[in-house]
Amino acid sequence: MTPLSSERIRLLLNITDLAQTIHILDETTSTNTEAFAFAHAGASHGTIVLAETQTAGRGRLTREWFSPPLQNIYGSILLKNVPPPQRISWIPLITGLAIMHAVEKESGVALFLKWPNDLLVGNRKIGGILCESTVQGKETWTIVVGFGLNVHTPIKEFPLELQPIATSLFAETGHHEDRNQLLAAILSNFSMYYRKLQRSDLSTVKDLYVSRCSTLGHHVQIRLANGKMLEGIASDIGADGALQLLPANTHTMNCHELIDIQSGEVISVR
Amino acid sequence: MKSDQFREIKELVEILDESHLTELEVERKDFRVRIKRDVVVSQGPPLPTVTARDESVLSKETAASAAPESSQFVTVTSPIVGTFYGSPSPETDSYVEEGDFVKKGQVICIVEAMKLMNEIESETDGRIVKILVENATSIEYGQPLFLIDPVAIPA
Repeated sequence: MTPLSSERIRLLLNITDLAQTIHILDETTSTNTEAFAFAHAGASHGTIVLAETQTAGRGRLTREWFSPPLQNIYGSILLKNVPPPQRISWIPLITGLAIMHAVEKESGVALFLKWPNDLLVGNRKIGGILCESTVQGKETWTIVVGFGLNVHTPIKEFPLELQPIATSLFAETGHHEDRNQLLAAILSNFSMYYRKLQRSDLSTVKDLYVSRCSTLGHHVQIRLANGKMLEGIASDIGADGALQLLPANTHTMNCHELIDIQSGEVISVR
Repeated sequence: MKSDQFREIKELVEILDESHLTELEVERKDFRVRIKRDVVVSQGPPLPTVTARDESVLSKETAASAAPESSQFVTVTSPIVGTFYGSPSPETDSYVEEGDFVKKGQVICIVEAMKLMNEIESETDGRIVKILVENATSIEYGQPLFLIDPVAIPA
């Protein structure tokens, strides 16, 4: 199992807009927290922060992210040159797409991409994405795209409560993939999609996403932020990346109008 | 102010804009809004001004959200379409409460869209006069979220 190496990643990368600076830390609290600290200290757009382990790796809503040393990918991309507000919310979606394509190309493992950006093999989670930003005065955005990908951890080494719901590339294939090569592929893909967002080439991004999002076309239940449940067919993706739901009880309504979901948990697909 | 109320006020302003009316008043179960414009002769198109009254809001404060330039309060608006969260997670305390003093750059809420968690920072030192939206509700781009009194000084 090769250690992380910025030289090796850079050698495999062929992009100029990101990864001019790659920080590799033996240990950090969380690469997202570290990336915000670098931003605060003046780090430039495209700075990458990677760590061999996180002592306080986190997911959304202050959930923990399992981050054993030297096994997996824990990384963050700092973005300062951001697209206009109506396209910013595509960033989590293109991150999912970037990781999915990289994993499939490097390992051959087929992933499910659950809206907006859950990365699954079957029903097991193989990766996680945490995009965070700080906004001051509507104009000044600092966005940190955090991602974790389980690479080498065998299932039996996950905490007991995660064993039935987590997996890794090694658990799926029996092979140890090179994390540097995976990272180079993830960053290349992300850079390609991000440039499309910045150039407002939204239709290409949307077509790519729609063609790979496993949620679309299925009957789903969605738990909204306020706890309310919605049910219907996941029909399309909106201009801002929202999941467009055709409600199941349309016969009681006057129209067949799609509901745009910006925030919600897709809790069942059948 | 709820997002549908905000939308309704926006629509009323547009109706007034396109009409020859000078004043418009609408009353609902829980809020009433009156929009009027000054009739200005020979100084370009007249601009609508809004005064709204919510049960729980002093009319002065709500008017400030619609016409911040004429008010002592700073209105913090949403930079994105999404969901408003007053705290980092359901189990934790709110970032701020009404009456709290905040510093410029202090995080006062999160607006989430497509799981991008946007921490909104205060643009000014001051006191939170009013939180204009409920936790975990949908909000529009540009929707007022907070009124902050920038001249208030902690006692």
